[in-house]
Amino acid sequence: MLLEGILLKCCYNFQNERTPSAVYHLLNGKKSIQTVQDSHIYDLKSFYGIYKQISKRMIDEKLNLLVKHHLLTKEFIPTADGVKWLLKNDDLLLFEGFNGIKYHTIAPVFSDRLLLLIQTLTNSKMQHLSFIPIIDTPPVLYWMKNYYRKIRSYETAYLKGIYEELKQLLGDFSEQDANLFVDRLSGYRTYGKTSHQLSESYQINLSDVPLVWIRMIHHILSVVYSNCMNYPALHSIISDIKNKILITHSAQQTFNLLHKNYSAEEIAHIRNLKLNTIYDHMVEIALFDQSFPTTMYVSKEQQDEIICTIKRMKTSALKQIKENVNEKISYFQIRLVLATVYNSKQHR
Amino acid sequence: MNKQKTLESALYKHFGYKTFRTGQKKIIQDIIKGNDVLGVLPTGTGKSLCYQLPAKLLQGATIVVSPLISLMIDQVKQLKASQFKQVIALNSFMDPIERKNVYLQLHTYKLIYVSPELLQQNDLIVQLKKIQVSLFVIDEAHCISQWGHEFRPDYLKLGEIIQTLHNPTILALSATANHDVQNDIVTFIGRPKMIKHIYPMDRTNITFSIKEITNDREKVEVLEKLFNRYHFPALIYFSSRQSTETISSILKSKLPNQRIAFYHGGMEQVDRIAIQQQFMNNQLDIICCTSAFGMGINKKNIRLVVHFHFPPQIESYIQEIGRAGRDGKSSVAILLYSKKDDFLPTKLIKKELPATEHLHYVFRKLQQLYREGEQIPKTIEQLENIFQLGEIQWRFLRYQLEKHAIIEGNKIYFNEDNWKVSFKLIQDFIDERISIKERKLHEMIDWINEKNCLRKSLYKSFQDSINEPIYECCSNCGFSFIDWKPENTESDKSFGTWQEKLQTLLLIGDSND
Ligand SMILES: Nc1ncnc2c1ncn2[C@@H]1O[C@H](COP(=O)(O)OP(=O)(O)OP(=O)(O)O)[C@@H](O)[C@H]1O
Ligand SMILES: [Mg+2]
Ligand SMILES: [Zn+2]
Repeated sequence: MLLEGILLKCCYNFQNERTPSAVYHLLNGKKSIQTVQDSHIYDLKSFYGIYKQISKRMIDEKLNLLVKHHLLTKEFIPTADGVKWLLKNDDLLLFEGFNGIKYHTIAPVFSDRLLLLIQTLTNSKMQHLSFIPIIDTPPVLYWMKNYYRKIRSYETAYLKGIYEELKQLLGDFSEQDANLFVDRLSGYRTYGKTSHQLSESYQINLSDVPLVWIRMIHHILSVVYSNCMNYPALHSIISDIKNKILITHSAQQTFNLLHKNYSAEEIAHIRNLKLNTIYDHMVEIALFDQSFPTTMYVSKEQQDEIICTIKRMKTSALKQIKENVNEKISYFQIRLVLATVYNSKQHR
Repeated sequence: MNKQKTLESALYKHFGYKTFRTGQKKIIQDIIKGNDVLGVLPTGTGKSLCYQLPAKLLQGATIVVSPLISLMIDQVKQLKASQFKQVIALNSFMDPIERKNVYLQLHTYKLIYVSPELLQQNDLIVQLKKIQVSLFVIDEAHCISQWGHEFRPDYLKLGEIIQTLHNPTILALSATANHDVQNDIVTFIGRPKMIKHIYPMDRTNITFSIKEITNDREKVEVLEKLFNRYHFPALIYFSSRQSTETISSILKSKLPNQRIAFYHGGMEQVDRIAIQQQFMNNQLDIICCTSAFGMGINKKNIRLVVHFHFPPQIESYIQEIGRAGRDGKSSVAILLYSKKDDFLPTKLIKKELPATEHLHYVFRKLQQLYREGEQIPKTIEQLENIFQLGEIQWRFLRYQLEKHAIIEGNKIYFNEDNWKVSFKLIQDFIDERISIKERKLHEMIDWINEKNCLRKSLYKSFQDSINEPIYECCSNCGFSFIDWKPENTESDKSFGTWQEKLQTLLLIGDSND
């Protein structure tokens, strides 16, 4: 039901201005400017990249089911019942636990490392070196090797630290969620339960298991980051990586060139890219960089006009805004202003 | 120090075993001398070691061809876990970039597992030719023979490939090769001096039982009765993925004291490993599985193997019941048979091979592609789309089409006369395959309906005489479950609060240690 709730919420916020594909890209965390921007404009930032393994087909199936149950209209807009359902289940859905835009890159890394770390330390404490690692992606294994070298001499104390910290953190969740979390862990001569087994044990939909898990990981990360002194064991798992703000590599290159005072046209020429692509990058940068000099590209008056129109029309749909402002104002300018507006909202 | 000593100490050094099991040492000695070997050893007796130890000892690399990718990956994982690190599994599911990287590092591996499809690819052959291949292993070698229960056309090209690799020593291994299959293997590999090490495959600690039943509901009732009485590790084999899931969920509701899971090849790799490992660690009692559950499962104390559906040939049956009683203690294999089951495998056989109409369709499509100047698409999805064939069917056909010079790689060669003749030949071949498979199926059904000793009948085409069983022989010789009282295993249920579970998992003692 969590997935259904999330889909309803997405449809509710998108208000038919976006297709199911946009929902897919959002949950999947597609690294495109459009998707990132959508998540800001429609206030769905917390869902960005929270379900990387989801398929388009699964989303379509679920949406159609919601239509069948009259929670969505055929146009994928929540019906009155759908809205009621969302409100009624607010306490169970716990959307506030998600923070996708902030943690979508770090969460899977943290989760993989934690799982492998616990398995490795408990096995090594029992001098059992031949176990099959539950996570076997090379970067995680590589990290584990180096990390293990550092902590093996105080293995027992470290395990104790993890125990104390997890005990503290899991206390924030419902009994059921905390149990599910512990059942997923592998240790010495114990192998964690599969998603299917967890869904059976706790009577939740199979498709919700990854969501419940990632919601807990997001919460843990937020507590650990804001209190790293109190959670040294868990914090050190990820202290080597910066929680990168979301900006694509290509946008980063554009960003560097902008800093050297090249114009958008020049950058397009240098990088052999379309001007529109460079504009996309600039919007992406503006979304994250509060110091982005929007006024260089949109005059103060034009900005005011755009903002007024957004407020008056109560819309964020580019086309509608474009039709209601001075025709000299371009799509690029509108998007830039939208980005700036949402950026300042986010930081307030 | 004599040679024997060194081999034993090498065994201990690299694998931690004190002694060789039957057959292992003789096979390994021959390999080290450079002799080609055909080894037929019963399931689960340690055929892998016959190349894993030489891989450690010989200079250069050992290549192992193995038909099932998932099983190959499992084995590599286990080897890595047991500190054998210079090992890799190459298969077509690997990420292309990762594969390229591995290709450049090939010389650093001692043991290279390869799927037969991948071995057809030129870029791999080019790389393999650059390294020294000292041993070439054909695991599950019965796949070479069309009399084998799992004939794999891909295997037929191995002969050529072995030559390109400058004729390394060859080891062919199988657990289920009768006389015909053995001869095929030797002829095919083309090394007449090949030394045969054939060991009897009857398992003296397994008791056979067949129970005739009218329908699935009754089968479930039998299972209920059995598992209310016994509590030990057990496997239940099914013929379809779907039924492993449905029956396991029924059993779960009826047998709350048993910990049950299902396992089949359609599951994600992580989940498969998780279920396997839970079973190994006694976190699960019963696995409802398809034939995909097999190698890599070396649980010693499986007491009971049930066949909810029977497999399509005796060889598979022998392999599957071979999971039971690896510790040598009394174990039972029971097959639940209902007359209705006879149809299931017949349908499966037909599904594995393209039907005549289908063959027509493929030929028309090929001609169309040829006219349009197109090539055969590369990905499996595209192929399935264009030809409306599953992967297994396509692999089968591709080999046939290549053999008849209709295609080569992705190119199509049109020649009306040749196509006509070839069509007929392929069609005949398919019919022949189907009739072989049907014959095998009948052997299986005949065995099920055997009135005399099941044990004697089961092994008769594999060996001339059989050993006395240690425990009860079979249901036709008077075995009944009433007298069977194996040791029940306790399942340590880890109930408790999550705090307690976490504490146990993280090995935190109660005291302040
Ligand atoms: N000499 C030995 N001493 C003790 N254990 C051994 C020895 N050789 C092999 N084993 C163990 O026997 C088990 C079965 O080995 P293996 O998987 O190679 O069997 P197999 O003959 O290939 O079976 P299958 O027919 O199922 O493929 C493994 O757990 C292996 O570690
Ligand atoms: Mg084997
Ligand atoms: Zn008998």
